[in-house]
Parts: sequence; structure tokens; C-alpha cells
Amino acid sequence: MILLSNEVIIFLFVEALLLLLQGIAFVNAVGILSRWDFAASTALQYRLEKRAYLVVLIILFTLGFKMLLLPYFSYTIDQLSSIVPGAMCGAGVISANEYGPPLLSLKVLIVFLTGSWLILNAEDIKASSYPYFKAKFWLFIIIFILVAVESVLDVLYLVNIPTGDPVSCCSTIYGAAGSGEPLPFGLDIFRLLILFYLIYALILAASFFR
Amino acid sequence: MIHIEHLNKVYNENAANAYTALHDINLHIRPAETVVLKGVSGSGKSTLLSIIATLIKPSSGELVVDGEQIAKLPDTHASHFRNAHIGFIFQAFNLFDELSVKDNIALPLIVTGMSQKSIDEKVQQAMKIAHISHKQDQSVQNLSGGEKQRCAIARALVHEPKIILCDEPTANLDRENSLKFIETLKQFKALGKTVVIATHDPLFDGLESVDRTIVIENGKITSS
Amino acid sequence: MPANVFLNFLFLLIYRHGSKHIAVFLISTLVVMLFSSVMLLSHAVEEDIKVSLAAQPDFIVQKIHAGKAVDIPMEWADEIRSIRGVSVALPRVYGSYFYTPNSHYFTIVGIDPFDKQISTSLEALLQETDLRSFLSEDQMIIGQGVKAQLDQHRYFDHYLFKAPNRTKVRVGIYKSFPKESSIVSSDMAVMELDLAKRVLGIEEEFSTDIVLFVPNELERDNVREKIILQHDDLRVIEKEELAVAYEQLFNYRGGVFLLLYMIVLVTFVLILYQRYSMISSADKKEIGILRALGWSINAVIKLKIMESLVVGLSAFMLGLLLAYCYVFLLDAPLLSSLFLGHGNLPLDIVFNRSIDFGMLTLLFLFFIMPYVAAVLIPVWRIAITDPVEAMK
Repeated sequence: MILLSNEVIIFLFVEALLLLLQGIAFVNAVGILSRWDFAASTALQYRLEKRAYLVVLIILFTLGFKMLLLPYFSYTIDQLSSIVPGAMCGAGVISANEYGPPLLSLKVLIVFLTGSWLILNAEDIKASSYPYFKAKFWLFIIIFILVAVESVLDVLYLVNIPTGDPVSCCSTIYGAAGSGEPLPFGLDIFRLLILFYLIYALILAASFFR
Repeated sequence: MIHIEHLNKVYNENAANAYTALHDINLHIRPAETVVLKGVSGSGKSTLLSIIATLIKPSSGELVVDGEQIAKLPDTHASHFRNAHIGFIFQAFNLFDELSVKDNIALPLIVTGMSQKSIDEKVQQAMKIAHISHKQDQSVQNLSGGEKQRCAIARALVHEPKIILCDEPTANLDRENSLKFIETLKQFKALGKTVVIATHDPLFDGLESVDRTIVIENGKITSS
Repeated sequence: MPANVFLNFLFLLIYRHGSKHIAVFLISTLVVMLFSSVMLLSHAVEEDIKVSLAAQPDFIVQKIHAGKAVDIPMEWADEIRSIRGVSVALPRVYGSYFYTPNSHYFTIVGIDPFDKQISTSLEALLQETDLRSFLSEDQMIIGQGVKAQLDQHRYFDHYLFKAPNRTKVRVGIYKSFPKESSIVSSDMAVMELDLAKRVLGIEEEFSTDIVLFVPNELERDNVREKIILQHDDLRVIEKEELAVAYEQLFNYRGGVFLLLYMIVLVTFVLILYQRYSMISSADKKEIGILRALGWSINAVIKLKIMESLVVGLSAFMLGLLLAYCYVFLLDAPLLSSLFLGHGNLPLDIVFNRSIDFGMLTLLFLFFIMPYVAAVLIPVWRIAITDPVEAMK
């Protein structure tokens, strides 16, 4: 039972707590979106504006912690490699069952969406007429759905890690032994480097021309 | 300075206990003018004051202060506006009893982004104007009513607002201190502040330092 | 806003309202201390096991009869030694001795003082032992746990072991292990190989099992195969398997505590939520004043969150400090017996003071996350209070 490992318990507990909070934010967000009318001066609209502070507060808190949880997840996985036979590092553990790789992709996607949400929110707060209000709430609803899927995958993945059968270890995964699939998306080291520097240059240019 | 057009405030809108606090208010206050809003309690003068301070949102109508539309600002902007433009003096002083005079006066400055040094300077300046410097390290709970009022005046001035709103400023003061407060109105005038006083105290009748007296009854302006 | 101005005000407020926070602070400290103690303890035990495992042999070979391990002929050790890749193969003699007065088991370990020792701690022990006087008669070196048991029944210089063949073996007590040695040694009695065989009733040409060292990792699978081919009633245990078994045992034992702790944590979160939801009219009035003076909802939220964070953080640090003292200075009374939970000898151990940064982060996140989560909604609720209402 991998579920009794300390790191896994803590991870799932924190995850569950965050999901609960996001659930609260989600219910509120849906309620706010359906009745939101910035032009109105009704008491309802002002109540919604106040309620929006709670939603934003929870989102900021949970997304912030989710960012922290990602390195913790990889730490957990790495710790598990001493229990899972055959695995020498986290990379071996992540491919221990079919849920691992999609889970990892999903986590990365959520981090990207989180970043976009933070930017949207910062822009929205700056203006005095809530220009991106609906957009940021919709984006949050999407993020929430993804996070819910992620949590389910987390549980499925962790429950299904085999402690009996050996998994393939790092040297096969990284192709150090010269065989196997070396990198995701069919990249080789050379193309990966090109991609890396392209993105790097793009970021530099973007921050320069803003 | 303050332009109010067709302003209404209804509590519990669309409910059985709906109640109109302000009804079609039109009011224009010039810069550096001192205006008394006169009316019995419940007449809506405090509500009007709170709306000007963006503490309460109107149900309809326009509110332009210092060229800025403020009726519908989101809280962050409304608070920023309040912090930059409005000094508030309350009936119940509304001080932090556990804090010292100095710390109470500094409260509006904490969110402005000033350094501690310029905060200290501004606090000293405001205390000098309000004649409370000698009590600066005392805890507020040890002050007399008049001293509390002076502390509140210093706090209303410390961030150098253009507008000072007073809600029943003399209701908790004895006659002597009330007269002292009326004296400070002259100081406000000398500093070029726009002052709006909501009161039912007859002491404010026919004062030289008051430019205009506006009477509010049942949420309507009846004479100005 | 400049951080220091804000923080000055924050600390001023906390200082003035100190009594309001004291209950939350104390409960938080207790919760942190409880959790940190368990984690520090489990970590220390794991480290200790890792250290003792590192010195263990790579393989243990047992003879199996009817599914049980039985004594193995000593000459098989010579056969195994001839396999290419095996650097050392030693017969080992050890076993449990039932100490009737207290119904406890001692672990009897036989050693050949002139051969290579299986573990480095034994090696070190022999280094500082005067072999000539130790071997001059039947004597043993005992762990602290054994010593305590024997002292209780006034066996100060010798003990009469009752061997399985109904003879009595008189063994002198040469000295006891120093307290600082590892967990494994507390219930141990070390004696010369043949003496141990007499005490345990093992025949002369036999030993309990055979251990071997294979320095080259890549050779290990080959060696394992060859041993199994030599005799078909053998069981070969590899060190890696032992390590995984130990790890699972202690990780899981920690896990059970963690699950219990989680219940505590949930209760704690509910208490916090309750506590912060009780907003006095004085609190409300203060927030109303701040709002009227131009503090935004966000600024108030920030103030209130920071306020609870300061309380939480200081409770965390105090709790951690207390846990450290409890585990490493006081040797975790109560908790250690619960945690190590052997029905055998009381383990008289000193934990290595090991704390790693990763664990501190873990402790921190695991406490502060639920803590802040609990105050979010109450903080928001107080921040949106209608300032006009609040100041009345």
C-alpha cells in the first residue's frame, strides 16, 4: 500500500484541502457569473462584488499553493523510488502506471493556466471598471475543472503504483543504455536545445518590448 | 468640488421593507466651501455623507468629486480615492483605544506607500495643527473627550485631504469643547479645505465660518 | 506600501491585542509539537536503520527445511567462497534466548574474534576489547537493555544460560555496550562463536546462516544464481530487499501516526475557523475605522492574514523547538515506545540529531497550509463588513 507513505498522505491531504477550497470558490464563481451586471447599482451587484473578493482570495491562495505543491509532488515521487522496486528516481515512478504521464502533462498545463490567470487578475485590478472580470472567472472555472480531473488522476495514479513488480528504471527512460524512447514528443537532445533557446529568446524579447 | 445629481439611495430595494433614505438629491459644493447639512437624526444626512466618502454606494444618480466619477468605483479604487481626498471626523471619534495618539493619527498613512520617516513628519505636523502634540505617546483611552476630538481632527488632516466630512462632530462634546471645534472650522478654511458637516446642533446656526446651510428632511433637500 | 511601515503597524496591533491570540497560539504550538515529534522520531529511526543497513552483508544464505530456516553446515561457506565474485563468506551464529524472569528475548550473537567481522560496529567493539582477557574464560559483552534486565535480578558478573539440552552454561559478563551504539544492539549479547553455539544449542559443524559480500554490483545476480544451483534447499536474501522491507515498515508506521494526526489537524482547522469567525463588535469597529480611513478590502485582508500568519509562524517555531528538545534531548519518552513498539526489550537508544531541510519544508507546508486555509473565509467576512454599520 503506497498510500500509507508519509509523503503521499501529506500530498493527498493538502491536495484535498485545496480542492475543497477551490470548490467553495467555484460555487461562488458560478453564482457571481450568472448574476453579474457591472452596470447595475443594485444591492445584489454590490454583494456580488464583495463576494468576488472571497473568490479571488481563495484562488490566489490555492493557486499559489498548487505552484508549491508541484515541486513537492516530484519530491514525493522521488521519495517513493526507494519503495517501488526497480525505480531509482522519480522518472521511473511516474511511468509506473498509465496514469502517470498524462497526470504530469496536466500538472504542467495547470501551472501555465495559473500564470495566465494571475496576469489577467493583475490587469483587472488595475482598471476601475472590471474589464476582465468575466474572463478571469471563466478561466478559473476551466482551471477548477482541470484541477478536479487532476486530483482524481492523482489518486488513481498513487493507488495504482505497483509495489510488487519492478518498473523500468531511469537508464531505460532516459535512453542512457542506448535504447528506448528517450524524450517526450519524439524530440532528441539537439531539437530540445533549439526549442529551449527559441523559447528563451522569445521570453527575453517579450519582456524587452513590453 | 462635489457635484451630486439626481442621487437616490434605497435600502432593501424590491423588498417589502424597502426604504428610501435619499430622494433625488442635487447638490453642488464649491472648493473651499464650508457647508452644514442640517436635519434630525434619520433624515438621511449621514447617509449622504457616507455616499460622498464612497463608504456607501448610491442606488442611482451621479456623484462627481474633484472631477472623478466615484459612484460606482470598485472597492480598491474607492478606497484609494477615500484615502487621497477625504478626511473623516466622526461623532464617536472612532479611535483605536489601545493605540497611542501618534499611532492613531498615522492610520490613514500606512496604506499610502509613504516611508516611516515622512509618516512621522506628517503626523507631527497634523498634531501641531490640532494642538495634541503634548499627548502624542499617551494611549487614547486615557484622553478626555476634547482631547479625543482633537486627535480625531489630526487624523482627518494628516493625509492632507481636500475634503473634510464631519458627522455630528459635537454630539459627544460639552459646550466648551464644541465651541473649540467650531474654532477649528476657521483653521480648515484657512487651509483651503472643503468642509461638509452633518449636524442637528443649533450651535452651527448663523456661524460666520459656515458658507451655506442645507436642510434635509426625510431624505430630501428642503432648503439651501 | 513599504513593508516595514505595514509590519510596524501589524506588530503593534498584535502586541496590543496579545491576549486575543494567546489561545490560538497555544493550541497551534501543541499541534506542531505533536506532529514534529513524530516526524523527527520517524526520520531519526529511518536514518539509523539506513546506517546499520549500510554495514550489512550483501547476501544472507539460509537453509530451508519445511519452509523454515534451519541450521546450515559450516562447510557450505567454503563452497560459496569459491564462487567467483564473492569476496567474503562467513558462517554466522545468532539466535533468540528467552529470558524467563522477565519474559523477554535476548539476541545472542556469536563471533569469531580473529576473522573479519560482519558489521563495522562489531569490528569497532572488538577493536577496543582486550581479546586475551575476553577469551580467557566464557564471557559476553551485552547491550544496555540486557544489562538492565540482568541487573534487575542481581546478575552483576555472570548469568547461567539454560541451554536446550538441559545443561546450564555459565557466562561471565565482560562489559556492556556503550549507550550511543545503534538500535540493533540494545537487546544483544555478544560472545565467542562456540560458546554461543552451546547457549543456543547449535551443533558444532553448523551455523545459523551464511553471509557473503559481493563487491561488484553487476556480479550479484550471477552469484545468486550459482548459490541456488549448488543446493536446492537454500533461501538467498539480498540486502536491497531488507532495505525495502525496513523502509516500508517504518514509513507505514509513520503513516498510521500521520493519519491519526490528520484527524487532529482537521479538528484544529475547525477550531481555528470557529475562533476567527467569532467577530466581536470591537473588532468590527476597528475594521470599520480602517476602511473609513481609506484602507481597501484587500489591505484589510492582507492585515488580517498577516496577523494570523505571525501567530501561526511563531507557534510553528516554538512547537518545532519543543519537539526537537523532546525527541533529541529527552529521547522522546512515551512516544518512542509507542513508535518503536517492540514487545521485546525496551530500546534504550539515543537518536542521531538529524533534521534535513526537506523535512522542515514538509512540516512547515503541512501546518501552515491548513492554518491559513482555515482563516481565509473568516478574514474575508470581517474585511467586507459594512464600515458605516460597524462604526455605529
